[in-house]
Amino acid sequence: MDRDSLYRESFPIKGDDFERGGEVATRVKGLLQQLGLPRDVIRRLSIANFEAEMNVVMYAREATLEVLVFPDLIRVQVVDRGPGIADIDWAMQEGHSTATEAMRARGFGAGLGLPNIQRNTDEFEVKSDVGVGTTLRYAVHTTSRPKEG
Amino acid sequence: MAEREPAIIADHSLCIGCSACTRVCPTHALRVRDKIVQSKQERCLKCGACIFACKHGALRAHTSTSADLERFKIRVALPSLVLYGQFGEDVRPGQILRAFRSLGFDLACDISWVCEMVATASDAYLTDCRGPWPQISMTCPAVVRLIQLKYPDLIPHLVPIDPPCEVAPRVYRGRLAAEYGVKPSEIGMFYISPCTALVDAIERPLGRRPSSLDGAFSISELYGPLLRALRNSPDSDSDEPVSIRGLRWVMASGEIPGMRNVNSISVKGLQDVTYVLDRIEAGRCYGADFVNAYICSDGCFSGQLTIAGRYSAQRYLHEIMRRIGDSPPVREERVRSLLQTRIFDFDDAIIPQPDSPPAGDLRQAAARQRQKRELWSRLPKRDCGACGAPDCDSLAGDVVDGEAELTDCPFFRLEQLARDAPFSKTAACSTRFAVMACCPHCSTMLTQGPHLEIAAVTPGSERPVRARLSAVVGEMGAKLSGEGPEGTTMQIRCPECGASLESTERCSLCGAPLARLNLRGGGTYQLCSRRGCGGQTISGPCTSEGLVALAGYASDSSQEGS
Repeated sequence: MDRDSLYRESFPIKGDDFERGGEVATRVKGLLQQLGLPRDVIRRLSIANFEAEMNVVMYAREATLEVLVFPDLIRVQVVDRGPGIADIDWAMQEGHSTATEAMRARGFGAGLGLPNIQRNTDEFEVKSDVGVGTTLRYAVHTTSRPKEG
Repeated sequence: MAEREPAIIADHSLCIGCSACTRVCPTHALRVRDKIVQSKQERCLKCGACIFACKHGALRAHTSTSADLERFKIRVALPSLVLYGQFGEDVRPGQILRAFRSLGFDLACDISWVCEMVATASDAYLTDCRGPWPQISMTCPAVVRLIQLKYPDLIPHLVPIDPPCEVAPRVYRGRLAAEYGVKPSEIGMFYISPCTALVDAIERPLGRRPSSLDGAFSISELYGPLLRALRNSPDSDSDEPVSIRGLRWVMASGEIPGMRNVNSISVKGLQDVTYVLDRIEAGRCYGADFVNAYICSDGCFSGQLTIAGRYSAQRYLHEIMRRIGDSPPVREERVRSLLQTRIFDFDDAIIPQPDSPPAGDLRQAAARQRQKRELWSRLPKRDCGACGAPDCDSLAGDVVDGEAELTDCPFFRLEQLARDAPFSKTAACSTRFAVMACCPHCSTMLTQGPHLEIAAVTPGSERPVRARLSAVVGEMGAKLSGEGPEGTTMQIRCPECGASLESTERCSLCGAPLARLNLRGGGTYQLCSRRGCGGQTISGPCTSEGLVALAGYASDSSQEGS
């Protein structure tokens, strides 16, 4: 970290734990609400966190989702141990999914969910080592105007 | 009903301070302090879970009175359809409606047709609706309040159609005024409600438009009088027909059967409702167009103001419906023409009422969060509720907000006491604990009632003497009996297996050897083996099994050594 955060908290996520899938996103949402952040920021982060968490549940063994609060942005890092993504460019293309148009219109079928995270965040970066794991870093600015999307 | 009184009121004289209510409250709105239950009204959904949880009648529904009825020339009961399933399969809806005449009402109107119309109107609305999807029903006011509080982003998903109990007076008032020759305002419309959430929505409407009802009674308070009236009144076959599709409204599957928009899900119970709302908020909604959500686990049948169990009540209603047979559905053209009159409309905006702090200084909010987490880390995280807050997290928040002290937690207080003062010097501690101690060798439970049974051997004597010490922490005092003068160091043994209990540690007060016992559930309890010292220490990860809080036990020093 290049500067000090105002607040940070880590949440473990377990792969294959479908029963509790979404719980971390919900807890983080509660935290962001407690911090009195604008609703638009909470909404976008909740969508991104949910996608990231479900990616871990579906594909990885385990991960840590860390929330860092800075004066002007909220950063989230999801570091997982898992198979990694062989072709990030492919995964980042929207529409690599079998979902129908109608489902997609309602928020489904964005492939691995990475494009959906990118759409809802102001900064986004993904690094992956095949066979080792994937690191997602994304951030939503708390002071900027709502991003279209 | 008195102006703006909440639909759930507390009777402080009946509260015993058990705090069972705080733990079931879905929004953590309740606190019990000094045997007084307090509610953070702005967080309360009026779901009534606390009424169920309170075994002492300290929380109850606040409904209309007979004086409220007296204010009107014509008094009309509008019973929830749940009422039809309360009296068994042999009592028909028409009989129940007639029975209201002996309860001070001029008549009772069936609202099953209104329910069917509301379902049809919702259907018509969904057909023309452009999203956002899925749309969410406004039938359960507790769900709407939950959305206002925790999911303000989902407000645009709400179908702006009022629940049947709000629509019914709009349908009947004008008609009855003409029939009885009175002014519409002289007709009192009273809902007979299965739950507190619907009662509350009358006094505190979800929007700014006042309720079209004049008051409400609970099914539970009218059950006895209705049952008596049903016994005394002869049966008659001249029943008005009821709507089967309307009755299905209240059945397990809610308003979904009979709707043309079948791409719907029905969700019941707080846990499932929050699960689904979380997912809708995260943009995952199962492709459903319509979500019918109820805060109670079996919809309105499990409202806390009902009498018949939800399973039998639903079976009764099924059987009643079967005997009635099919009724012709209301014509959709008629409902569409009524839609033009806006009688179904929820005519206002739902305003977000988040319980989180308003957007403000992030630095301050983050500092508060850090402080809260630091406090939480010092709490035992048992979420036992003994402090009067529902869990450790809530207590930490209350402490940050200056509404509570960390020492409200008995475990924290005990730890602090153990750290700051030896037990023999009784410090200010309003809760006392008894040790549940076992022999570390044979595991025999040595605590017998309020006493700790040990065997003590005086030096020079071979004969162990059984001794009874107080099991209350801090009260051992000089009670170690035996031969020899005060100050004699005894050898303490297990009275069962005879093994020595001598510890490697020494008393922090006098330096004599300590005797060590195991606490049930973990941790150790050590007591000084020197007569008259009374030194005690507790260490390790104790649980509430090993240290039992003694309710109502005064810390008054006059009880010392008793």
